[in-house]
Amino acid sequence: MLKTYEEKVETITEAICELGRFVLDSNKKALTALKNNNIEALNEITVPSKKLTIKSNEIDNLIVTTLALYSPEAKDLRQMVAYLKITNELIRAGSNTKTFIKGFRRSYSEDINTNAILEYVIPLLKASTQALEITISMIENNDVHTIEENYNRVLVEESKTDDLYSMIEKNILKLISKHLELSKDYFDLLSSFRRLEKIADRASSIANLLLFANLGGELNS
Amino acid sequence: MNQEIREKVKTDTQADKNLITKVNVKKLNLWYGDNQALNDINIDIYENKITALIGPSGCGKSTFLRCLNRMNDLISSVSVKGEVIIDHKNIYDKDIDEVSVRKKIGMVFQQPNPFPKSIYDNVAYAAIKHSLVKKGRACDELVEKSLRDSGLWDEVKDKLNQPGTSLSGGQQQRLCIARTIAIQPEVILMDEPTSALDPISTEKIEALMLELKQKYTIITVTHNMQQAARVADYTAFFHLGELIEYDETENVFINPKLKKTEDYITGRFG
Repeated sequence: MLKTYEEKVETITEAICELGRFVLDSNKKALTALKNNNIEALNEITVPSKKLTIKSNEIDNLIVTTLALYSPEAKDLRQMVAYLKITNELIRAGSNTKTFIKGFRRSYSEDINTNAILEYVIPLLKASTQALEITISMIENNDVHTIEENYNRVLVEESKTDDLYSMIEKNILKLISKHLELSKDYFDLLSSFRRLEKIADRASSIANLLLFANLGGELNS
Repeated sequence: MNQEIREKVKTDTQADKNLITKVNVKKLNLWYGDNQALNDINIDIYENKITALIGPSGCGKSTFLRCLNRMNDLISSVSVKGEVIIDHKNIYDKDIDEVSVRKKIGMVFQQPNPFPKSIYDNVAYAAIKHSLVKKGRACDELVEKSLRDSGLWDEVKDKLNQPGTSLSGGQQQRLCIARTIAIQPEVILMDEPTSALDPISTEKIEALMLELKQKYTIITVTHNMQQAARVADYTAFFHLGELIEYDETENVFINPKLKKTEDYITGRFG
């Protein structure tokens, strides 16, 4: 392939990684805040959806230009198609992060069982962040063996979030049954936790797209 | 938009992109006998850019290309009206010598056409004829530099005395490019330079074009639209002797302004 094509792909890859790192960074900050029991720190985390959308549109337009000018084929074509879908997944992951932070901040108070809530949310957030981090590292890596290995790791983390969420759901329902007056807060918290599980879903979907880009097969995200 | 405003918009756009006009074509018309092949062509071709000329067969793109170095003068039935201004001078002015024009504007053809001489002589011949160098060290250096710039040196440095025709098709075409750049032209015209080559040789020529545009202004005719999209900075679409659309390649291939261009690019006619 021409050098100009390789430069374009490099630019797109770097821009996608940057978009992913931005979302990841917000999740990591949220995790640190929760681990330190510093809920106030969540107020300082911003996930500017508009900025992310603008960035994602820029990347998508770059991809369209690359498709139009270079007519890539085989692995190159799969990579461009996967990238086009990955930007969308990252925007959705960012939106889930934003909704989690906002929902958690709004419903978390001294009235609820804070110890129990933190005990549930930290591993869930840790697993979803881990899934996202592994996924983003996959974007920069072209080694098929490493990609397959990381894909399996993402699936493990995603499965972890599913299990953790089910457990948390059961435990929160128990808390609600003891304190019906706080049911709205608990339900809102549960709804925000659901976002973390969604982030892991998005990570798994991206990992799947990267597997398609590198190994081929059918598009199945 | 009147002519004055159009000129102003064009000048502002050029300034924004630091574009320098290398070839300015004004109201160019060409006839083969009574048959008009080019109709009022106006175009600015920019320095150190690759401009691709695309369009269906018989649309006038090769005829237009040959106007730029007065190659059509060799056909007796051809008459040309209009101006082709290069470096503030109309190459169709009566006091202009067409040989000096062709020295300034090199050309690479569809079929690789090395002289029946050695690889060395293929590159050195025109430079010596134009008195750019004399035989000896200076000539050796020019041959090496031209072959290096055309990406061929490493493949032929040990067989410079072998005939140019002994090389593969792709190598012969690069030898023709080396021969062209040896006379230090300012503009290189390429008439379907890769249509006779396999995909690997084509990629080498395309990569070379991208390298050469740092030093030269390149105008290429191609039937391969993917090639125009890959290598050209600007693309001009010709149809029935008229310049239909001329813009940055990205715009032509993603958002063409005219339906006719879109129909051609998407394969709906041609």
